[in-house]
Amino acid sequence: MTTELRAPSAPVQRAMAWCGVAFCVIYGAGILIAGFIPPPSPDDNATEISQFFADNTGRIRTGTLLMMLGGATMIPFFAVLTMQMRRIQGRFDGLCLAQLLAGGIAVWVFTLPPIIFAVAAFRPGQDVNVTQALNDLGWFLFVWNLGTVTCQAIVIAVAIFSDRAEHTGDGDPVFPRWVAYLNIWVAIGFLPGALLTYFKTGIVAWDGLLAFWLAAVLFFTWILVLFWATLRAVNREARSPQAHASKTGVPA
Amino acid sequence: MSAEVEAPPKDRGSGHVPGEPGLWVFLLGDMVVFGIFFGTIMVLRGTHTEEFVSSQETLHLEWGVVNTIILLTSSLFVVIGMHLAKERNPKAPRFFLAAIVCGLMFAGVKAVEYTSLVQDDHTASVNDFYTYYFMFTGIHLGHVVLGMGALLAATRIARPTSTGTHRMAALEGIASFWHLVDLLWIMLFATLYLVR
Amino acid sequence: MKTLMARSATKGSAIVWAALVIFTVISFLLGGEHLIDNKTLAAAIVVGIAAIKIRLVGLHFMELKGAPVALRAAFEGYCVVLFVALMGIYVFA
Repeated sequence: MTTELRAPSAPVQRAMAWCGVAFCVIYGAGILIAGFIPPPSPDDNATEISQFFADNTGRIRTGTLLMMLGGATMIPFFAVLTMQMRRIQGRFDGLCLAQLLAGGIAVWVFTLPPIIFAVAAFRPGQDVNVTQALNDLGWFLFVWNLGTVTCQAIVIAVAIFSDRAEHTGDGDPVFPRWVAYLNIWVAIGFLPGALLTYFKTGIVAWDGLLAFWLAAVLFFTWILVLFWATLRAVNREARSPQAHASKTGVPA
Repeated sequence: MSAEVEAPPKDRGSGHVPGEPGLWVFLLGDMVVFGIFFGTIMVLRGTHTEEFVSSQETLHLEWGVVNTIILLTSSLFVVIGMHLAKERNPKAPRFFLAAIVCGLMFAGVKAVEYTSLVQDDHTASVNDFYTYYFMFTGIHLGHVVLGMGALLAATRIARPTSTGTHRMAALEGIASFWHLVDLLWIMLFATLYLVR
Repeated sequence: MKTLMARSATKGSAIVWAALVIFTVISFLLGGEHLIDNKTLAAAIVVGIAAIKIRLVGLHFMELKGAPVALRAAFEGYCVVLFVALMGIYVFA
C-alpha cells in the first residue's frame, strides 16, 4: 500500500522546506515596505486613513506586491510539511488531509490582505469612506484570521503527539515532541485576537499588543520552527533510505 | 507513546524534568504570555490610576481570596495524588477527583463573580480595567477547564492497574499543567485585585 | 518504607500549602485592608509575595527543585524578572 507513496527526492523536499524561510523574508519585507509596522489605528477616522494611503501609495503598492508573491511560497512549504507528516502514520491519514486543507486556505489568508490593501491604494482620490472600509477589511482579513491558523496548529500538534515512531525507519519520531507543545502554545497565544471586533483601541485592537504584536511574533516563530523541524525530518529520512524502504513495506 | 519519551523519567545526575522536556516549551511559553498580561495590567494601573482603583474596588476581593485558596488546595490534592500514584496506591485517583471538584468550585465562584459584576453594569465594555479583568480571567478560566479535562484523564492513568511505560511522565505532565493554572492565578489575583 | 516516604513527602507539601495560604491571607490584609500607607511599599510586598508563592509552587509542587539546572534557572529567573518588571512598571508607568 504505502510503497506507492514514494517521497520525492531529498533535494526537492529541502528546497520546498526553505520556501518557508523565503516566505518569512519576502512577506516580512513586504509588510515593512508597505508601512504597516506599526499598523494604522482602527480608531483613526476616514480622512486620516485615506491620507495614509494617499501619502504612501508607492510604498503600499510595492509592499503588497511582495506580500502577494511571498504568500505563494507557502504552497511548497505546506506541501512538504504534509509529506513529512504522512511519515508519522506511514500513510496519508485524516490529519494530513486536514493539514493540507488548512495550508491551502492559509495561503489565501496570506494573499487576500495585500490584494485588499492594494485595491485601497489603487485610486488615491476616491471617497475616503471607501478607503476606510477597504482598510478595515484588509486588517480584519490580516489579523482576524486566527481560526484557520489555530486549527492548523492544533492538527499539527495532534499528529506529532500521535507519533509512535513506527514508520520512520530509524525508530525516532518524525518531529520532536516539543514542536507539538509549541504548536499548542501558539494556538492559545493567537486566541486573544479573536476579540478584535469589539475594540478600536487597546491590546486586542488590530494594532494592539496581543492581537497584533504577540500574534506576529508567535506566527513567525511558528513558521520558522516548523521549517526547522521539517528540514530536520527531510534530512533524517534521506539519511536512512534502507531502513525507510524496508519499513514502508509493512502494511500501515 | 513515541520513542522520544520512551526512556522512563529517571534521575540522570543532572536532575529530573517533570513530565517531558517538550512540555516545558509550552508551560514556560504560557508563563511568558501571562507575564505580558500582568505587565499590561500594571501599565493600566500606572496610566489610569483613578479609573483602575475605583473599578478594582467593585471586584469581590473575598471571593478572589477564596478562589486562590481553592486552587492552592487543589494543587495540594494533586501533589498527594502524585505521591500515591507513584507507589500504585489505589487511593490516588480520588485525590485527582478532589482536585477536579476544586476546579469546579473555582469556576462556580468565578461564575457568581461575573454575574454579579454584569448585574451591576460593570461589563467588559465599561473601561479597560473591566476589559482586562474579563479577558484575562476568562483566558485563565479556559486553562482551568482544560486542566480539569487533563485531571479527568489522570484519574484513569493513576489507577494502580494502568499500564504503559510513560504512566508517571504523563501524570507529571498533567500535574505540572495544573500547578501552572494555580501559579498563573496567584499573580493574576495580585495584579487585578490587590495592587493599587 | 515506600508509604513512609510518600507520607513524609505529603507532610512536606502540606507545610508548603500552609505557607502559601498564610501568604495569601497576608497579601489580602495588605491589599484589601490597606494596612500600609506607603502605596509603593504595599505594592512591592503584594507583588513580591505573589512571586515567592509562584516560586514555592514551582519548586515544591511542580518538583522543579530536583530539575536540571537550566530548567530550574529558567523558572526562578522568570519569578525574578516578573517581580522586577512589574515593579519597574509600577514605579515608572
